[in-house]
Amino acid sequence: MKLLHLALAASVASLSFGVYWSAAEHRAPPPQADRAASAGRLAPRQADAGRVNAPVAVQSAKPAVESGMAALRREMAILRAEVGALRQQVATAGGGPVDGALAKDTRHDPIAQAEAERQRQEQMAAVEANFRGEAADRSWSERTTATVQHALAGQVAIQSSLRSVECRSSTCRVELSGGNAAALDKSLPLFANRLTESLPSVTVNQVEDGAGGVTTVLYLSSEVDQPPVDGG
Amino acid sequence: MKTLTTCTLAPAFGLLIALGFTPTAQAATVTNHSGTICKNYNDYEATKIDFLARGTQNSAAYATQVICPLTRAANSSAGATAYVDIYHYGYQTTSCTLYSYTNLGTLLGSASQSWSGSGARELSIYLGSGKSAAWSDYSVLCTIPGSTNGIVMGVDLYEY
Repeated sequence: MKLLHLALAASVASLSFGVYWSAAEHRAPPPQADRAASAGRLAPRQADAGRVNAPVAVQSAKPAVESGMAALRREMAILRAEVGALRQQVATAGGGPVDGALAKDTRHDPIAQAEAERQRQEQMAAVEANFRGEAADRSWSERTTATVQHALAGQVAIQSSLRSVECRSSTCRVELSGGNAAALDKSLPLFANRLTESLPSVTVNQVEDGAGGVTTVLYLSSEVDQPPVDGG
Repeated sequence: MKTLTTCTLAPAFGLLIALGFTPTAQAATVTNHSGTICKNYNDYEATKIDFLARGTQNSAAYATQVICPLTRAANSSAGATAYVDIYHYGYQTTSCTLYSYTNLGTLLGSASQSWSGSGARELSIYLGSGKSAAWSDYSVLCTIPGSTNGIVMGVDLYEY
């Protein structure tokens, strides 16, 4: 779909350039005095003198301009027809908005799903790398680890599958594996809600561990995402 | 080079505009929900969650959670903001978390906000693009005050 849009844009751009080029060829050069005056190279009086001669030059260029305009009109008509045809082609190929209410349903497309998962894992690799690269702040780390442990109080499902808690300077990484998956499903939202004050933003990576289980890694951050400027 | 580029592209874009061809603009969508969509998160509290015409409240003596399912009007993966309208009788605290799960049930992420105070307030909870997917499902979980001291009046979803 993007290719089709690109092809459309490229063809219109190249045709437009053609139109512009042919128009430029037919266009009469402006009188020398005007060009010089506009470039600021002549004194006002000299520029006035140039203007006296200008009608003569325009007069001689008039047929060329008219034929150029006619050519432009013809090419505009061709372009309109071509753009109309391309629009039709884009619409037929399902080329509505890529995002938004009319986007194609890719939920049952295994290729699209695999691609989405690949992109997701790339994102998660970046999140993990950011966490590993985050400076260590011992004071924040100790304080926030205690807060996380406090939020875990009474959360039996999470406690039984907890593998590690590691806090740096603005992010904590909590790894969970095994345990009762159904109970974990119930407890995880409560855990995140309990940490609203100190770690309001959570990115989650859930991957199958190859042994029939799922490993869940939570990146809990004290930094709140900022919405796009035009939103809200 | 710059002049050539300008000469080439300027008429092209001019022509595109003249022909009414503009790139597809992605429109944001807003979906408003009454707070009465929120219901008990814990099965044993079904009788503790009470409904008003203007929202949902908690009649238990303690703070507890309600879960609010959100209807999506678009399938953008650019993220969303949930606006939760709450009301407190006296000084109370409400904490709300917006979750995003894929259509396959995988948790992508969450974002939270809380407020302590009295009267009406709107929480604005933004879930970034990395925590959202085109077909992910959103829900909001709020811990609301007990003794009917707090009401969730509405939850509105703004999708980018």
